[in-house]
Amino acid sequence: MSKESILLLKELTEACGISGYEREVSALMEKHLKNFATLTRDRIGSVIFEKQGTKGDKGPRIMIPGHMDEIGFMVRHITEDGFIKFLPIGGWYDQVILSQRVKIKTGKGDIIGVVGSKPPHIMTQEERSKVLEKKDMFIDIGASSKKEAEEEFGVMPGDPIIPDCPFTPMKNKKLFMAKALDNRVGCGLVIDVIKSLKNIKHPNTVYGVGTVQEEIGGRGARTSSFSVNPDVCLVAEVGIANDVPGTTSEQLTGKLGKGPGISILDHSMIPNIKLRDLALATAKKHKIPTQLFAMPGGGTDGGAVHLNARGVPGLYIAVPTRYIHTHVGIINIDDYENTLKLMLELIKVLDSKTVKGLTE
Amino acid sequence: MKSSSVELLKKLSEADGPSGYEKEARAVVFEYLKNLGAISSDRLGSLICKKAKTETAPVVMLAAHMDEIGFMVKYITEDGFVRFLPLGGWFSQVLPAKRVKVKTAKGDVIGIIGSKPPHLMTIEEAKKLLRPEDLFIDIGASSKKEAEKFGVKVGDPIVPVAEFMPLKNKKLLLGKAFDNRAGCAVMIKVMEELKTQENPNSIYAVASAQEEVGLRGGRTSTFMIAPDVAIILECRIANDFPGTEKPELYSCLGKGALITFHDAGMIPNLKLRNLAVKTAREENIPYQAYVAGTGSTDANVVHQSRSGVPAIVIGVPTRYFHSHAAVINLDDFEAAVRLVTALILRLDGKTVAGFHQ
Repeated sequence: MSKESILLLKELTEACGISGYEREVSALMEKHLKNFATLTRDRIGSVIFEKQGTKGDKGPRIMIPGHMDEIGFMVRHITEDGFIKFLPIGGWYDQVILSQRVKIKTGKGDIIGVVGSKPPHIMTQEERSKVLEKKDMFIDIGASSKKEAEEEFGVMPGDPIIPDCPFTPMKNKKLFMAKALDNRVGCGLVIDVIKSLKNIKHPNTVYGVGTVQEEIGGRGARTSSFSVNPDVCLVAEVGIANDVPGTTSEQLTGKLGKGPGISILDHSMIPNIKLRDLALATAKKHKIPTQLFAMPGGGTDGGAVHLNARGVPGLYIAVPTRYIHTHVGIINIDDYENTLKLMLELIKVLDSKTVKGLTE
Repeated sequence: MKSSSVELLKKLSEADGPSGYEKEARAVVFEYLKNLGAISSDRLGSLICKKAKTETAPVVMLAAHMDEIGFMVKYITEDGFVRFLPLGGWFSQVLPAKRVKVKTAKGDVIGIIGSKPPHLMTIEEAKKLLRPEDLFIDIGASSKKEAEKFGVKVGDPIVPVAEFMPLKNKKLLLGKAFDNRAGCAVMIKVMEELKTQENPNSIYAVASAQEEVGLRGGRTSTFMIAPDVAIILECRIANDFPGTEKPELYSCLGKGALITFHDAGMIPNLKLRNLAVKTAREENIPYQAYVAGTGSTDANVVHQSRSGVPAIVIGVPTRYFHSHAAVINLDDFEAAVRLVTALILRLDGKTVAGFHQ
């Protein structure tokens, strides 16, 4: 299992797809699930994979959204001398961008560039103590003029730009470094859940959804949940592992290797308490490690899904991830496997009666 | 046989060797120079390749430092993170979320310089510049003990991880450590050129150690050689990018080799400088006058060695150095090789004696 999951995560994280440009990722999801589920789509690019259980369409509808988009940039303007000014897509911190390699996806193919940085030798004392802001940065693609950038390289305003970073195993073989773990990990979970359900009896219909445009406001989650009209929602997402120097335990962020994070609150959703407690009890019963966490500074697709129609009981289950929203995140594959296990065990017990009870 | 410039630059760029830990870089330089002269070294680890003529021929020193900027393991925390010291001048905003390699006795360990996700940051924090002492390297160890099992020890050198690659315009090369492996590459190519030429002087090509921490190998190797004239080969600042005002433009990519007219470390010998300009003009080699208020090179200590040495810095314009991702133009590199070769051929006894008259 582990080896397959690792290959799947490599394939998914190395795919390109900033918000609004997710097609490469949805194609991968379709490839993996074509023999396991029925595919439908919403009208802004989300892909919905339906897997019926033992009760046919009479069981509750469980939606598992995993957003396909990653944070990145977009070409905003090409200067006369061929440099790219860019717009951030999603939440970028100024200090993780300089001198990083990026890839611009143009109509004529991929172009590698680098976010330029001034050498310290020519900085004033004042500049050296100040954070350079995104708006003052630029990407150098090695073009000598706007004309060359446009006509020969094929760069156009609107072209997506993604971090350039290969999937890399670390010395501790359970840990992996990659870009876009947020949220190809969730896409991987959707794929693995649906595939695993082939050999599992479940009293419900599961809708695994690759959503679009989460990083700019949960947009695909809104439209796809309208399409699915779910009775319950389990959000497949990464969470923040912040088990690093300088963190205090009262911040309640996740730790790598300690199991799936069960959210007690994020910026966009307070989970359905009964569903949360059911997840904890189920994990305990099956000896799956879990950790409670809070993410007051960020939201998920759950924010849109749980407000669909008259409301949907929702829970955000997270794979703890270090350094999200940069070129390089880190996950522990055990956490991924345990999250998958927990989701499958939960799906098994989410029958009509239990789901009805969540809102009573 | 002459080597391919791109392959040479790739090998040198991808070799690891921060100041004081130049072993791998020196091995690459040695491989290329070993058949071009007699190899020796000073006592700080600078490598010297001597191509001697007669005893009375003037002694020309070519020097390019082979160390790159990097870091050193300062401390391993109880939970397995690495705190580090910078080796050389780093601007802290180019550090977070970068891949690095810890060079341990048990092999290389990949890690990343950790950073806090914006979700956990206050607006105030986001605006404050991180300092190197706030940062740490995550090597995926769960404890100090495990980190030590990986082979990580206090004092181990740390280098950027950055693959060498040509950009879409194949003349432009992206990589780490061009400062100053590009200078080392110019030196190697010049020595290859001179193999079949009759140069009127004795040449000592020096790959110097520890330039980035204070021009240290430059000092000791010059004492050893006691040159009559010196040509220092360096990466120099190209800032032909958005935000640079014309009077502040140091140099441009693709417009030729750099002849330094001024930097913070040396005013070149004027006769030598003028000869370099004349040579470039007569040989139709593109060049740019590099007039900088800042920056210093090995030339600073070389030209003050013993009773003084006429010296000049010939540079390769380089964007974004002192980061994971520098960019040079192959044409500038080739121009520097041609200029230095042509200049050396003109450095006969009479010309060199005239420099300080």
